[in-house]
Amino acid sequence: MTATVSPAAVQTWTPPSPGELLATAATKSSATVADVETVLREFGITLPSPIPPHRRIKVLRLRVEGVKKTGEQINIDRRLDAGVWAIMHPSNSAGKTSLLEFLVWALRGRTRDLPNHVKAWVRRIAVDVTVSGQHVRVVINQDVSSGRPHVTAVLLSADTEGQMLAATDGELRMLVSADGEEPVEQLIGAFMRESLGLDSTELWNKSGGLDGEGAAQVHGWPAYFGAVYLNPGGDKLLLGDVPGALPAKLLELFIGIPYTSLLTHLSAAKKRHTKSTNQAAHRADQDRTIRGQERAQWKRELEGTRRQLAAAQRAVSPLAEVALAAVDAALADLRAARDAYTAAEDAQQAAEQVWLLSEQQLMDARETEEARRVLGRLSPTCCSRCEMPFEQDRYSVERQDASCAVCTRPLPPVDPELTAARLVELEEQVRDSRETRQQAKAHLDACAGEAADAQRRHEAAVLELNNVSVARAYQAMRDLDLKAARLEGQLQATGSDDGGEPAQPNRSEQILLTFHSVVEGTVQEAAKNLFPDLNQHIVELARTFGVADLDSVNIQRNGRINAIKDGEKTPFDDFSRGERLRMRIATVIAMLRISTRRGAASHPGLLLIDAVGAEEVTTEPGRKLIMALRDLAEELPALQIILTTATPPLIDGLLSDERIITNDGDHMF
Amino acid sequence: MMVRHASLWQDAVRLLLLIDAAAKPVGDDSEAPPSAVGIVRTQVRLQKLDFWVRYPDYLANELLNEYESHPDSPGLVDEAERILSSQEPDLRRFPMLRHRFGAFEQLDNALSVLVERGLARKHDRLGERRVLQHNYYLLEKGQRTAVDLLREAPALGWYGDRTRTVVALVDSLGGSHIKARQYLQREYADTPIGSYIPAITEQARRRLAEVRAAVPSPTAREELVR
Repeated sequence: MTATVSPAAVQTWTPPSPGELLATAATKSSATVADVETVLREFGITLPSPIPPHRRIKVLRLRVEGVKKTGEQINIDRRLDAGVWAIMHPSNSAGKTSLLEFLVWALRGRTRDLPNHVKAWVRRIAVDVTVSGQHVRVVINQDVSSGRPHVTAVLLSADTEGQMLAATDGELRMLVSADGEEPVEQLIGAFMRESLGLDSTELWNKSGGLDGEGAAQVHGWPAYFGAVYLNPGGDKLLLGDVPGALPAKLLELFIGIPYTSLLTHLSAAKKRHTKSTNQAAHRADQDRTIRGQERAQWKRELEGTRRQLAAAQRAVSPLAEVALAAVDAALADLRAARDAYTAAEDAQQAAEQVWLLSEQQLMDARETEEARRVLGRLSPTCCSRCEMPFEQDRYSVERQDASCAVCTRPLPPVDPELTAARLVELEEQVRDSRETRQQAKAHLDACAGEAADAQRRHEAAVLELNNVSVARAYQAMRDLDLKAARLEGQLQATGSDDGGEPAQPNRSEQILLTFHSVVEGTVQEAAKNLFPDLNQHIVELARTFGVADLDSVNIQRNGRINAIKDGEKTPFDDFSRGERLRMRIATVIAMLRISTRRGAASHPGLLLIDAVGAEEVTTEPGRKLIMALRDLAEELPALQIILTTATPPLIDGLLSDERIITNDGDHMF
Repeated sequence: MMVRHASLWQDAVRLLLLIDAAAKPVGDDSEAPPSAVGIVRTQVRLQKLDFWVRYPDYLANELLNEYESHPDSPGLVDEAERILSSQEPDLRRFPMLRHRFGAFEQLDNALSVLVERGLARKHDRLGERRVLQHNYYLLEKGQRTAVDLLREAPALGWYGDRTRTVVALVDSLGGSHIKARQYLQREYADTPIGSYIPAITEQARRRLAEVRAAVPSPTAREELVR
C-alpha cells in the first residue's frame, strides 16, 4: 500500500542549522553569536543537530529461564525479526502479556504490567537486540536464593547479529553491568536513550520540586517507551503512560521535528528561571511589604513625635513662667536686701564718722590739755614776734591783774575740774559712738549676709529657670527634634511607599528568552510543515485499520488530534476502545513512515501491542488491522510489531506459523 | 564735712617734737642764738615732714616705696602694716591744703608759742640766688621741754615716736626731693591747688596686701629664722 501524500511535499521544508538559530537569536537580542553561546552554556544548554538520529530497535531473540512456584521449569527461547509477530493463546491468563512483559523488562529496564508472582519465577532473561546498529544482549538475572529477589543485569556486545545469536554470554564483550533493581533500570534506560539519540525530556511540573513551587521533571527512557509499547484500547492517552504534555512531546520527537528536545530544555530553563525570578519577586514583594509596614510605623512615630514636639513647645512657656516668677520674687528679695545693706552701709559709715569724730575730739582734748599743761606752765620769755625778752614788770602785772603778759588781755580762767569733766564727757561720747559703730557694723554684716543669701537665692532661681527652660523642656524638645530628624532620614533613605520598580531581567535572561522564542518558532514552523502530512497519513492508516467514518484529524503540538468523524468533532475519548488502539497504531506508523521518507527513521520501529482484538465485537476489523500491519511491514522494513491476542481467528491465515508464538497447553509457558 | 583742725597747743607740741627730731647740730653757725642746740634748715623740709606726720596713710605708702627701693629692709613693710591695720590713718589725720609746691600750712602761730617760751627760734636769711631761706633753731630749753613732754604727757607720746620715724625715713633727703616723692602719689598730685589733700588709706592697704603676698609677715619671718 502506498501513501497518497507526495514525498516531495514533505521535503519542501528544511530546518535551520544550529548556527542559523544562534545568528537569529543574536540579531533579535542585539548581541553577538558568541554572547548567545555564552548564555546557553551558562544555562547548561547544548545545541543538537536538527536532523534526528536514525533510531532502530529490532528484537532478535528472547530467552527466559525460570522456575514456577510448582517447581516447573520455564525455558523459553524465541527467535524474532522484523515484521509482525503474534503471541497467541485463546485462554485468558495464559501468560501472553507476561511473555511480552519479559521482553519489556529487558528493553525498558523495568516491567510494565508483570504480575509479581510471575516475576518471582524469573531467573534469567536474555534479549538479543539491535539498537541503532549496535548488537547487544541484555541479560537480567534474578537470584531468589536469599529469599528476597536480587536483580542484576549485564549488557554484552557483539559485532554482528550472527555472532551475537550464536555466542554464549561468555563469548561476548561485556559492556556494563548493574546490581539491583533500580540500577538495572537506570543502566538499561541510559543505554537505550543514548543509543537512540534521545535526550531526557524535561517537562515543567508546576507543583514539583522540594519547595512545591515547580521543577523540571525529567522523563527518561520509560517515558519514551510509551511510543513503543502502545497503550491498551481502554486507555485514553494517545501515546505513553504519562498524562499532560508528554504525549505531544513523544509525537514531536518521533515524527522527527527538529530541536523539539532543545525546546523542552529551553522551556525548562526558562521556567526554572521564571521560578527563581518569581521567588525573587516574591521575596522582593515581601521585602516591600515589610518595608512598607516599617515606613508606616515610622510615619506614625514621626507624626506622634511632631505632636509631642508641638506640645513640648507649648508647654515650655508655663513652666518658664513659674520659674520666671520665682526669679522675679528672688530678685525682689535681693533688691530689698541690697537696699537694706546700702542703708546699713550708710548708717555704718555715719556711725564710723561719729565714732571717729568722737575719738578725734577726745584725742584733741587730751593732747591739748596735756600740751597746755606742759607748755602752759612755761611763762613767755620773749615776744614771739620780735623775740625780745619781756620786762619783769609784765609778769608782775600778769600775776596781779590776771592779764596776759604778752597781749595784756585778761587770761582765760582754767578750771582743772571743768577740764577733767570735759574729758570725761568726751570719753563717754567715744564709748557711745564706739558702741554705735560696732552695732552699725554688726547690722551691716547682717545685711551683707542677708544680701549674699538673697543673691544666692536669686542665682538658684535663675538656675532653676534655666533648668526649666533649657535643661528640661529644651532638652526634651531637642530629643524629639533628633528623633523626628532620624525618622525623616529613615523615610527618605527608604524611598517611596510603592517600594520602587521590580527588577528587570538581566542580559543573560533576555538572551535566553530570545533564543527560546527563536527555537520555539522553528519548532512551530516544523510542526506546521510536518503535521498536515502526518494528519493525512493517520487518517489514511486509520481508515485502513477499520476506523469508520474518520474524515480528518488535525494533530496539534499539544497532543490533541482534533478528529472529525462523520462530519463532527469527536474527542479521542469518544472513540471506541478498539478505535483508540487503531488510532494509536496509525499514529506511530505514520510517524515512522514520514520520518523514514524524510531520510531518518525517528521512531525506532518496534511496536509492542497487547491484547489486540480484545475490545472487538467481531473479528473482521481485527483481521483488517493485522492485514494492514502485515502489508506495512513489507513497506517499512524497520517495522517490527509484536502483539498479543486471545483471538486465533484474528491472525489465522494472515501470519505464517513461525510468526505465531503459542503453546498447545493451558499456558504459554 | 567739717575739716578737722588741730588746736594751737597740738600744733605747737607737734612742731616742737618735729624740730627736736629733725634738728641737726648747729656747728659754727654764726647766726645761731646763744642757746641753740640744733637747726632745721628750710621751711619746705619742715612742711613736708609735718605732712607725713599728719597723713599716716601717705607715710605708710612711702614706707612701702622705700621698701621697694631697699628690699633688704622688711621692717619698712612691718611698720607700714602697723599703721594701716589700725585706725591711725583716720584718727591722726589733720588735713593740709595743696599749695603750688605741695602740702603747706602756715606754722607761724604754733611757732610763736614755742618762740615766746624760749623753746625755738626762726631765722630768715638770704640764700643763694637771693631766695629767702627759713631756718629753725631748737633752743636748749626746747630740747629739755621735749624730753619733759614725752615723760609727763602720755597722750603726746605718739608724736615723739612718729616724728622720729618720719625724720629717719627722709633723713638723707632734701626738701625738694621729698616734695618730688610726695608728688608721686597720684591723689596728691591730682589734688587741685587750694584743696585739702585726700586720704589714700584704702589704696595703701591694698598695696600693702600685694607687697605682703611677696613678703612674709613678721611672725612668718621668725619662723623661718628658727
